[in-house]
Amino acid sequence: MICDNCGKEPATVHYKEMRGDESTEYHLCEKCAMEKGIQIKPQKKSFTVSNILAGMADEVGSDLETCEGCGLTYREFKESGRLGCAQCYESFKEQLRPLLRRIHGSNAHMGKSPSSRQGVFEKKKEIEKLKEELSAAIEREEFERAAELRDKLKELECG
Amino acid sequence: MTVEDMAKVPSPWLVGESEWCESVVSTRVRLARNLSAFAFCHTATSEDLGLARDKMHDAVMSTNTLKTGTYIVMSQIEDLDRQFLVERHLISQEQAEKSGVRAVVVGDNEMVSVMINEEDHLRLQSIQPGFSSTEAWRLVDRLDTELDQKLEFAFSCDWGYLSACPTNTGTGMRASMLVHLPALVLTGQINRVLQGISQMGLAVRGFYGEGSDVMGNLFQISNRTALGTSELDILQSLDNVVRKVLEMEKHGREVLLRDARSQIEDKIWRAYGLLKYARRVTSQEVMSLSSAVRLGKCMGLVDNVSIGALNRMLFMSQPAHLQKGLGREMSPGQRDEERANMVRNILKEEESRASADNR
Repeated sequence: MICDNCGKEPATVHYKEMRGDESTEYHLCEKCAMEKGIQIKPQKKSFTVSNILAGMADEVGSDLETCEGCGLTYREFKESGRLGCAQCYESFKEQLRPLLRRIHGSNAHMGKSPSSRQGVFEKKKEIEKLKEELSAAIEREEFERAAELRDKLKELECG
Repeated sequence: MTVEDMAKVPSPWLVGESEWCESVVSTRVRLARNLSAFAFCHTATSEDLGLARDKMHDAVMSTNTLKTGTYIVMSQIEDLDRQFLVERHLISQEQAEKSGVRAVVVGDNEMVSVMINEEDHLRLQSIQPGFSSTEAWRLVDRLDTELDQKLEFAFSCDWGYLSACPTNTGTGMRASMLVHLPALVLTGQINRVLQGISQMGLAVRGFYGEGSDVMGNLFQISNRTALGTSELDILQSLDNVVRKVLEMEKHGREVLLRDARSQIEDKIWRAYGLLKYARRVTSQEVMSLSSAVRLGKCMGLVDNVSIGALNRMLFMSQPAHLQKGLGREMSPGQRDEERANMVRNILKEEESRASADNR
């Protein structure tokens, strides 16, 4: 087997990365492995994204969709696994929603937010939480509680 | 502080004695951030990236966390210096290879650093010795909050911090620990453990040499998802999984002591012997031999060398470290010789320190 990196020397270092059920193997010669040091990172992190995208069915024509901010096409994104600018997230949101769910098991941010958006973000998290509690209350037929929650929600959404 | 200055001493974070330090070499927390006003690195023009870089430079150098840091432009240093920074875990291989408009800011104890214009505009990171996710997060969070006051980050309420690669979107966080698991490898349980870690939702990477020997028995365990959980939950989950794995490693060591003591002692002392007397040694050899000695230390079978010294040995034997340390470029054969010298010196120092303590 020849080294994946230089393509010249025989590969003597075999590196396996496991992510969930998938495992990927890389084979390097001693020189390339040593030169890359203890931490060897796969060639492109986007390798995973490209793989996932390849496995997902696409709507016809979505390849040609273009981001208004940077001009990246959806096809280019699929090939490189990298988005072009913040606006791409808006331009390609229909495709990104299921993709993000595939990658992270979720598509709702639950972490830190920048100070400029903290008010808005915290409010949004609160609204999501109340909505969940509301549907749970309705299912359990706790209508008084549900009414309370609905009022709280109205306040938040309009306030 | 220049790269030359850095090369004279081992990474400051390597020498600390800390919780679980025999089994956990280091903890790293990194955050990915992008500026909303610029296209991502992959797409932006060099000119724009230059402007972005200057903006980021000004912001970073004015934070309390990094105002005494060193700003290094990738294209302004030598290839060897870039490799040195990679070995030091301060920049990625990618950052070293494609100079472009890339830079890094290194805090003066190397525990906090920022890569500029790698895959994302900013990659903040903190590396701490041993098992220290809380401390690593504290530092990187503080830096992030400071930068947030000066720069506008690309952020969406739905998807969090926006990154070039969707795998980082959300918290933009990758938290990892470098762990040493020789007993699990020797008792043949390692594959099962790695699968278990995977099933618990984390990613684990190891390096396999020829045959079944894992290089240095070192594994990097990290979170896999960045969106949908909070930063603290990610850290908690990493802590929990690593603790479980370390318990299993500890148990594996007990089994080895109970069922194969003489074989293990032999393996450990042979390794020590080679390190002490060999005249030429490759970095791969240093990794496996020092792993055996480290195991000996954890099992209480070896007493005359410290964990700090073993860490230093590991890191200083890397190619760029050796060459920068001696101030000259060397061929692989020369490096193997100098590496052996370095290792013998470290062990000699440790032995005299140990006997001085005993007197």
